Amino acid sequence: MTATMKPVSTNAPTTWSQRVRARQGAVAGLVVGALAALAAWTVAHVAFEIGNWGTDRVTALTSIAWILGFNLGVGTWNPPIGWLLGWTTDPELEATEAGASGGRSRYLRFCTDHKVVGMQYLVLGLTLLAVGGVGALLIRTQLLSPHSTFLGPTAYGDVVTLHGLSMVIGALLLLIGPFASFVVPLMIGARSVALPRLNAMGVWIMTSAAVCLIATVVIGGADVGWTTFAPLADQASPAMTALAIAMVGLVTCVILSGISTVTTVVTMRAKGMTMQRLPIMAWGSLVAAGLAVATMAGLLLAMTFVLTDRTMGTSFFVPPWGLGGLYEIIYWTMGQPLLYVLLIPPAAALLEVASSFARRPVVNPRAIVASFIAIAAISFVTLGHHLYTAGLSPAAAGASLALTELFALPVGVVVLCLLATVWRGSIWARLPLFFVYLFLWDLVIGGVSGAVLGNPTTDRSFHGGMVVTAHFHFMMVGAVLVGAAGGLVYWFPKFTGRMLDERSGRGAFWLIAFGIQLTFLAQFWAGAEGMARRVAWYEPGFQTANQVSTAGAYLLTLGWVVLVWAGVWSARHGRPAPADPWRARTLEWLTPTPVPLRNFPVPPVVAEDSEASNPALIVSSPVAAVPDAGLLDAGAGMPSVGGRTGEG
Amino acid sequence: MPSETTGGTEVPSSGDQVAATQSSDEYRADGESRPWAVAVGVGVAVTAVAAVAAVVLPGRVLPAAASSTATDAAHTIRLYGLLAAPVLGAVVGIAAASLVGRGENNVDEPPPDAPPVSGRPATIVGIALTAVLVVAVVAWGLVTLTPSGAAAENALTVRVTGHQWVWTFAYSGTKVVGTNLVLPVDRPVAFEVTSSDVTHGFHPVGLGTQVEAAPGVTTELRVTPNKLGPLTVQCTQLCGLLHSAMVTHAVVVTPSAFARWLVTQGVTPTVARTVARVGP
Repeated sequence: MTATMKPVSTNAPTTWSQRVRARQGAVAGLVVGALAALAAWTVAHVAFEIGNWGTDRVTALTSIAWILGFNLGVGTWNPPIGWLLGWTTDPELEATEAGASGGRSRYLRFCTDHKVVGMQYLVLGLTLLAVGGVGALLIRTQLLSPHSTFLGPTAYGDVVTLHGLSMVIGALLLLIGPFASFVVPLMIGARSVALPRLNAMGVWIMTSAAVCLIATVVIGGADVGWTTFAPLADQASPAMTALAIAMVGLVTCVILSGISTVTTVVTMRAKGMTMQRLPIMAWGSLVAAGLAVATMAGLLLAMTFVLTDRTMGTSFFVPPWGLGGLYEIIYWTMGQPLLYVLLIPPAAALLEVASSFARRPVVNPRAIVASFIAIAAISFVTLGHHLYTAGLSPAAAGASLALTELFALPVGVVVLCLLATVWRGSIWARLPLFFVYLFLWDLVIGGVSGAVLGNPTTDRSFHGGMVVTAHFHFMMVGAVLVGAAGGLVYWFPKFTGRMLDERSGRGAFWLIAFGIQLTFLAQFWAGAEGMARRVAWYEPGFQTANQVSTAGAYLLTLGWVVLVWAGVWSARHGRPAPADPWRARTLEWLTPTPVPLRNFPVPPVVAEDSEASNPALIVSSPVAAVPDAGLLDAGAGMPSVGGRTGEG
Repeated sequence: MPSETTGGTEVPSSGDQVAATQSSDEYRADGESRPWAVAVGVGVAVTAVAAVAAVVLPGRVLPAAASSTATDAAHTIRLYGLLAAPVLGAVVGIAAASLVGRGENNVDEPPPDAPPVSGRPATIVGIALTAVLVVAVVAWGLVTLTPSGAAAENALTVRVTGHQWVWTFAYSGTKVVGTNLVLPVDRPVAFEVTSSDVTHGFHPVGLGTQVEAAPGVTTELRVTPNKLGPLTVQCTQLCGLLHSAMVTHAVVVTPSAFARWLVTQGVTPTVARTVARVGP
């Protein structure tokens, strides 16, 4: 399939590599990974640590062997290995790897079809969110009473860490997979992603890393919080080593998929799909992916130093030479932009939703794109607001204050354009639109509390307290997860070929909407009263607020469960969906569902819409399911059969 | 705000809708004014409620302010809340108005398209209004940020060290080291904060300020307690197993009571009076 592989020999004998590759997949990954981990565990024990099976070095080698072995069994390393060894191509294997055959088993294999990868990410992301959700329930149950013994302090700390990391990573994977990998290539009229192997490698590396992450609670736990601040991280059990290696896997996954997304949007656009006409969702994914690729190195650096401190006796974060506070600075060079990597794509998805259900093009898309870029740029220079209490000089605090409050401008423009899109629109009240309104409310609460926390004077009252937790969750749950859910519900018919059950979906929506307000407004209350975050016990005065928050958390969890249940049920038994159930205008709706292997029966051509004043409105399709022929430009309607018009 | 863009445009007739409670004709009839009325009405109501909450709630919920820093913080919250109230009102008002007047359209067919709008005037007005808010917020922030430089002269220096999971306090000019924090009222305190192990957060709740305690680094926190009574000192940086229990009860007392307390800690009365700055 690529120039680097030898041509197909017509009567190729079955080589060992072909026999092996035919058996690769998730099951083989589990077997090879487990065997590799067992072997590494034994060898490391003999080599370094006679008599001690659970040290950092043993844990590190075991985790690395698991990740390498699992991916060897799955076939993640086939592209580089095949290139190095000069594997002959086997049409059948190549077709399976590309997703042309194999039916449902494709989802359990290394498959380079970006739609399969998108769904693999969806399942992995939801799994991590479920793990994080169980963690949230355990935390909130512990906090029902001031001195609860429900979890011990050790287990509580371990659960806090796992909850935070699983939730953040799970949300990120929803944006990487279903959005950036599945939808965006379709939106831009591409027949594939630009770097399909790179794209597919990310999901399997992340799968093995997720196992390391979840395993931390079993092998000793790391009671350090999702930011894994050193030197505390240097002190935690060897599970911290497995966690740091999982984070290296995460960085690898995010960078590989980010490069794939950026390259795809830049090079694979359909004919006529200029950057001016690029849908907002594609712009959002492009900016977020670029920002992620540019900043993930901070996490890699922090985790590498933690790993070498723990396993090789270096002293980056620990005495005698380690500098207290150094970790925080390195960490937030990644952590602050990460929050906007998480926020931009859901906002973009909901702009598409608003456009479809208010029956008008997204208002002022250029201002929105400029705002996305501005948000990304500002996020590079606002880590200071995490350091107001770390001894920042007044000048640096003042600069951080000004830069942080500057976020209000681009975020305000996005909110304004979202509102302008629905204002006096022709509202079609279907489930995806509901999430737009919830997103707006939560974003204002989260944004205003963020403006308060961005001020050094108030931050020094609230830092490390539940107010920060509440603000963060309004952004991460109220804006990011709600926005992601709105997008997933919107594209559900394209993902599954069936309609999501509207009635149970609405029930879930209201549970989520009220659950979020109860849970996190009550945390503002507890925090304002003076409750610290990440504590297992608190003063009895904070109990009422905590009980309200816990009740809200149960409600919220019920809402997510109902929504996922509705999705799973509808994917199997829902009403079959037409290609374009929402009468939307972006290209992903103009191809049949299920989406063909090469996405479009005929490469689409995009043309200017003569009737709309908005140049970003995408109007043309050469193929079936043209919703509104009146909008179709005459020239663009001509199918360009056989031409390589798919590449811009 | 987005109205500038839509003023005068016609929303296309939604004739194919199944009108249940409200006919689409009715929507057409008052379609020009009704969204405006709803947006302004809801917006003003939400703004009013949010503004009242912003002024009243901090006084009811926040711990009693025991320093001017804490009072500044409470005022900052009130001011930011007041500035945010119209933002919340505008968003909720416009969002609510976008939902009024639509017929029952929960069917498989969407209503007819709404006219596209450019949104540029609305964006420019929105940016201008937001910029005003940003300038106000930053200006106020910079004013309250200015450190009280005069504090240095007669400040009481207390060296604070975080350990897993207890704070120790050393009073300069004496050999008093212990886990009790006693502060004289109306006297600037300079906390010199560090840690002996991992990073902690030194937060005397009620004084309205805090600073991190990082190993190998000394951070300084200046504040003047102005209210007699107990305080809670809390660790605000996750520091391991007993982070939740790293809570110390401090007390703000009169200078003479502070001197008496120093004496009970083994300081000679003369030194105690000097450190506490009280006459014989």
